[in-house]
Amino acid sequence: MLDFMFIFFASLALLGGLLMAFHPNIVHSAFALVAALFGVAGLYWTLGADFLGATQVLLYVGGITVLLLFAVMLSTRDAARISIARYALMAPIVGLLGAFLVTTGKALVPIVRAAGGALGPTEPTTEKIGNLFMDPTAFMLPFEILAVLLLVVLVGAITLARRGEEDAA
Amino acid sequence: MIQLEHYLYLSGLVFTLGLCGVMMRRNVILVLMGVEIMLNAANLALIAFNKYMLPIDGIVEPKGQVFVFFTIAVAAAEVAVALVIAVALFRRLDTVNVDDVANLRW
Amino acid sequence: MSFSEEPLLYIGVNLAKIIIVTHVVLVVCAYAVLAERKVSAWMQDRVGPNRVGYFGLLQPIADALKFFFKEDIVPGHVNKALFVLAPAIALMPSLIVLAVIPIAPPVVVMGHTVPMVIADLDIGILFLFAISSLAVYGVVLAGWASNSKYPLLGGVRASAQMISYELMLGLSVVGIFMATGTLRLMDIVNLQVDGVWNCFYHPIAFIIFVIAAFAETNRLPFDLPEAETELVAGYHTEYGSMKFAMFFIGEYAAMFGFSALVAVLFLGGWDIPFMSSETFASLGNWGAVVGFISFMTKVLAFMFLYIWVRWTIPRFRYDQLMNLGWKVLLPIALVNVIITGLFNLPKGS
Repeated sequence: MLDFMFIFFASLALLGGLLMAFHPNIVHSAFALVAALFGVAGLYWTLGADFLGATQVLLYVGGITVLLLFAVMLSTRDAARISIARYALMAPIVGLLGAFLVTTGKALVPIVRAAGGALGPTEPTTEKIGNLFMDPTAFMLPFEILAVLLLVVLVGAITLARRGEEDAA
Repeated sequence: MIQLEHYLYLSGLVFTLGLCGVMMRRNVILVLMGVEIMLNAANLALIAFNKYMLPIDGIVEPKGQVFVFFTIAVAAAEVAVALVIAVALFRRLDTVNVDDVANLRW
Repeated sequence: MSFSEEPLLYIGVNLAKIIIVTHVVLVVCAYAVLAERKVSAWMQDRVGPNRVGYFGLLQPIADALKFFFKEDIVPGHVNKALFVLAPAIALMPSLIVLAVIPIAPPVVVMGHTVPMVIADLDIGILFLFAISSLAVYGVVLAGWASNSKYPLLGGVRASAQMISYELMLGLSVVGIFMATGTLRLMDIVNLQVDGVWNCFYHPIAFIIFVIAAFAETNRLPFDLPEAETELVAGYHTEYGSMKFAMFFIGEYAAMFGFSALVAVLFLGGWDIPFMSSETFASLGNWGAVVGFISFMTKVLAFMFLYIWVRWTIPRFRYDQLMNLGWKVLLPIALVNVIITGLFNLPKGS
């Protein structure tokens, strides 16, 4: 069952990523991105990370990608240009990097496997994650810094958007 | 049987696809999408490693998942600012093509 | 009862639950359309549909047949694949969210206790928000794929409106998590059955949630994406026959979903005042029947509120909508979270 789910979600993620990178139409690319993010959310689920799976769908699929689409509709008039020929030189670099990542993964596996652990039964993670966030010895400081970052971004985004408006007017 | 290595291979492949998006597409928003895919690939590897972590006193703390949570939150913040910049760019220069924005000043 | 012990029974029971829930919802949606027309007629001193069947009761069936037999037109200028996909995406999330909503106390069948919810997820409410946040795609996709100006404007409006109000929706519920300490909807209902309904504990959150629910379902006074006086019909201008019907059903299914959510989160789910969980248990399976009736009463009452508001309050302007969301509701929701935190301080430490 887990194998089947892995294959399903993995192909969703790969197909989505492929279409995202190569589809000439930018809106189709955005929807391929949705599929890919969905696939990754499903993979989180197969790894027992139920909270993160839902967060991924909520924030990435329901939030970030909608924002991206919004920006596409506001800014892009013609179909996006794709210049595979011009960037054919990059193909070997990309291929090498892919091969490097896969082999690194392979090399890392025995180290982690030796340390133990396995795909176990799913147990609720929400409470554990929450406790880690609020634990002063664990992630409390990063959590607070993250809150400040979000505030800064909120103010910054509004300021930038406003300034653009004044220039246009 | 699906094991850790399968998740890592997948993560590597998805990362490469995201890189393709970043390098080959010239639309600012599509470059952003590529970056998001790459972040997701890294997140996937983090969670897979977390699942195979050595238990300390019999418990595996979901620390890898906490990292991923931070990544997602920061990515959301990043996208908000980047999109504002993209829209401002479009208003000012009437383009969202990264090659057209090569000037250092105007 | 679990999948590993008795797989066949487990699958059978769950399939039965899925079929029952889906059909109840679709029938309620069909009759909600009739109710909308009847109520609007009464409010405007008309009679409303009364030709098909006694009191117009067969009107939904006639409407459905009409939709089925109309010619399915796909205009030549649209992006065909996404144009066809959009109505399906608009309908899907509103049906999926029903999977985690508990509708009645557990039933005992042949010695097995069956919880009256399709999937009793540990992160139920988060799942629910995650899935309902996908509803915006149907609208945006329809607006873009139609390749025409009014649908596109509707789609752009919808995307900004729905992510803004999702924030208020989420923030208003944070207080409930803080007080109950659980994301599982079954637990939230059980706590209310033996305690006080959340709408009395969290009145501010309740009001914000209701307002945000109107914006999320694109209903008046917040139906900017399909404002007929400005945008012809907004995102579904180019749609006809069954595809239009799917948007229509999607809207009413979303209303049902949010009504059910309000009932579960704030109005005690299947609870009846002055009845405890023991009273329900002592009634046996009749307790589940009584509970289901009570739950449906709340849902239908809230759907009536939707209709009532639609024919009473005029549409907001778009800037008013955004001001209300970001400058009024968001600060109130944040203050509400702080207040709830202060009240629950002794519990945590």
